[in-house]
Amino acid sequence: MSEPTFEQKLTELEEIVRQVEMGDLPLESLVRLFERGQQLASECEQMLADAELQLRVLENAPDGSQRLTPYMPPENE
Amino acid sequence: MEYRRWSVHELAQYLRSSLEADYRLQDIEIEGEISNFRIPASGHAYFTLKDAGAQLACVIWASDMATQRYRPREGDRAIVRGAVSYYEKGGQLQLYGRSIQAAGQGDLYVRFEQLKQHLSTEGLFSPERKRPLPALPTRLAIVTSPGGAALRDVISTLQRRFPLMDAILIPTLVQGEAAPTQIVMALAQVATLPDRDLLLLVRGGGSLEDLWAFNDERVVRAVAACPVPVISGVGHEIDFTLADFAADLRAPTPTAAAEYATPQPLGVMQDQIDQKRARMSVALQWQIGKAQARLNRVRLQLRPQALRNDINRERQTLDMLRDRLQLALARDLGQGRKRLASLRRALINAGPEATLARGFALLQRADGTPVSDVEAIQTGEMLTARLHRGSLRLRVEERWQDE
Repeated sequence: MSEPTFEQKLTELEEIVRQVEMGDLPLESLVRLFERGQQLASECEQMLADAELQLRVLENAPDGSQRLTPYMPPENE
Repeated sequence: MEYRRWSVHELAQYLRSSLEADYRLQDIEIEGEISNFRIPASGHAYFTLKDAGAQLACVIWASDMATQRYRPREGDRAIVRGAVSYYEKGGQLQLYGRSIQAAGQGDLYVRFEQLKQHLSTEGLFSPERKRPLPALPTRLAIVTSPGGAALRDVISTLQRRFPLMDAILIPTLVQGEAAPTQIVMALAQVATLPDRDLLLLVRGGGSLEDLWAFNDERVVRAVAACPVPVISGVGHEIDFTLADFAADLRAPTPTAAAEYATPQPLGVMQDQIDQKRARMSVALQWQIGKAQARLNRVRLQLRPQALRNDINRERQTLDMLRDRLQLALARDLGQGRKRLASLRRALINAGPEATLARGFALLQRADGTPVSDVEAIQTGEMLTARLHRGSLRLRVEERWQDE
């Protein structure tokens, strides 16, 4: 399994916020969840700060196969 | 006949006023092929309209040119509407155009309207067909020309607003004969890409002909049938294509399309994360507060004095309950007695005593059952007759039935 995406982290964070707010779990578990949530929030923030747009180009080879290659901006810019 | 000798300037003035006096030449439409088209820094457009037999110098002032949707190109057949006059300094007759459109554009408009009507009747543009866009799109497909300004606008908007985006470009031509087929193929190819959640179909501004690929019936149908929701951003604000009508959301420009695709830009995302942090803190503090309160309660209950107080309090409650129970019982009993007395009175009235008092007797067999049927009695059987104030023992001598 690769590193979870921003979206997955955000979803997990949302679930943790929900659980902490419900408060059905023992306090000890809530504190552990809280710590995990804080860590996720930091990771999300880091991802936002580091983010660089990923753009790939779908290329159709003459033999009918397809592949994705990194996008290269036109030279004359 | 005397000749009048004119100066060049006089002649030029004369030609000019003659032309301008002819109302037929002051609002005229001329069709021809554009050549030598140029727009210098002034912004005025200069070109020549020509056909097989003649040519005509034309100018359209920058202020008029700015309102034209059609961008003339060398070799286009075009229709210019304007006034004919004489340009004295240049020594030539000129058409001063106020508007220009591509020849045959009228046909295009008719075809546009017809196809729009046809597809609309079919329900291709109906609001119920529009799919909701994902709340936070993260895997984009972009269908456009790889070298176009539209792609540049989209890239810079995505980079600025939501650089976490994973975008895949499916390059196509966006104008010309081959464009529709390529766009249709690109729209279908989205299905073969890894889990795209949104598609942008974009193209920069242009004339109606330039944008015509986006009015092609095959393209319009492919937009409607696209496996993922489509945002279209074709041309400028004023340009509407049929692909726009079929798209799930129409953006006025490629930049706007990229903005719609990033509904939660970085600042908003950051705010949301901050908010979640805060909610977690508040919730945890609340839970800790609650736990503390519970602890205090338990601790209080553990103290012996508190325990005695509790026991006494329980006793008091019990006493109170007992009192209430007795009160209720007493009340029920009293009512019971009253009801019993009245029942007895009713029974006395209805019962045999009153009847016996009037001289009747109640016959009973030895086992006490009342006698009501002659058939049930044997001759010689012993019966008891209850009277008002005593009883008699009787032997049955004879029996008969009334007819």
